[in-house]
Order: sequence, then structure tokens, then C-alpha cells
Amino acid sequence: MSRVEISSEQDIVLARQVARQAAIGLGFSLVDQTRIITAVSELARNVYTYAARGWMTVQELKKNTGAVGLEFVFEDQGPGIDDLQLALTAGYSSGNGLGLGLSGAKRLMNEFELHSILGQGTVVRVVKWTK
Amino acid sequence: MDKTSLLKIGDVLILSIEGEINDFSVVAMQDMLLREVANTSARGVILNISRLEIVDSYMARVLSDTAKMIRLMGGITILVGINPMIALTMVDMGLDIQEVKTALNLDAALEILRDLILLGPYSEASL
Repeated sequence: MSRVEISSEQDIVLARQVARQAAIGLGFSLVDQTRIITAVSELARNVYTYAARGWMTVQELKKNTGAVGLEFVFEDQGPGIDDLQLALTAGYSSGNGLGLGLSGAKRLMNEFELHSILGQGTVVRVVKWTK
Repeated sequence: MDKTSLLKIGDVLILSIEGEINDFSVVAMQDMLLREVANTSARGVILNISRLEIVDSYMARVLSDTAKMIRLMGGITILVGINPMIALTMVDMGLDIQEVKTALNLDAALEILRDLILLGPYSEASL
């Protein structure tokens, strides 16, 4: 498992680089590598934009069926998300983005979980399986 | 500006954005480009993103905003070099880059720009 601290714009680039190495290591196709790196970029930026600091952890997953996947967890102790449904609505943004960060990351990955407590922080977990 | 290169050919500025650019540098690049458009009186701008690794919602927003700003200044922007992986990912996400013409490669972009600049802005709508 590797961990990336996110507290600057350059850390978003670092998170992308770590994601790319991990995706190449597991043999993901070029398209899936691009999907994974893009989702990681969105989620790492959310940590930086909304919480100022937080971290990402990456680990490989194995199912009994033999399927292999990559799990990314983004965690921060920022303000939390008031309305999860609204935050996941494509086109909605409380910042100055396009409002497609969270919903886009969800669409690019196979699994997506979002937990948030107001005033305490947010955890986003995403997984991509190789097939 | 270590992550970008800017060339001028006639009336056209060509900006190539390199691989691992951070959000701050993207905005600095936008500033620099707009100043160059004003300083050189360029009529057309080609944004070459063939070396970009990904286009996420932030990059899509900046590219789209840049094209709008250049249009306000009287220029025409063509986006070049979206690879198949990026195109697939953008469509998956529901991302689009509004108000920007695209071309397959630099040659095609220069050709479109030459026609647009020759024929004037009113021909834009007919493309």
C-alpha cells in the first residue's frame, strides 16, 4: 500500500503519477489507465480544493475469483459535504469547477463509496477491476 | 513555462501543453497565452494537447475558458491532439469542451484557420 499526502497543487500531479504506476503495474489497458488517472485527478483535487489537505492511499485487491483491482481511498478532515445527493449530481458545483468531478469519477470507476460527516471530513473509496 | 512551448507561424500562435502540468501552471499558461495574443495580434490560436496525459474537468474548464477569452479578443481557437483514450474518458465522464473547434492534427488545424482568417469571422458559423 502506498500513501500520498495531498496539500498542494503539485501533490495532485504526484497522486496522478502514483496512480499511473499502479495501473501500469496491474496491466490495465491504456484506456483504463486514462480512466483511473482522470478519476484520481478529480478526487485528489477535491481534497485540496475543499479540505486544503488530506491523503490518498492505493492498494491492490484480489478477489477469490482471481479478479485483480486497484483501490484508492481519499480522506480528509475538511468541512464535509452537506448534501451527498446534490454533490453527486452531474453539473452541480459548490466550487468553481464544472461540477463533474465526483459524478465523473464515479462513472469512470467500477466501485464508488462516499462517506462524509459535516465538520469532520470526507472519505471517498473507488475501485477499478482489471476485467 | 517549462511545461509548455509557444510558436508563432504567420498570424497563428501554437501552444503545446506538456504532460504533467499542475493546476497553477495551467492558469499561468492561460495568462501568458492571452498576453501573447494581444502582443502579437495573432488571429488564430492552436492549442496542442497531444502530449497531455489526461483531460479532467479542471483542464476541460480551462481550455474552454481560454477559447472564450481568445474569441472575445477577436481570435479563433482550434484544439488539436485529443487522443482516443482521452476522448473515451471524456465521453464516459460527460465532459465536453464547449465553444472550441477541434482538428485531428496540426496540418488540419492550420488549414481550418487559414480558411477562417481568409474568409473572416462570419464564415465561422458555416463550418
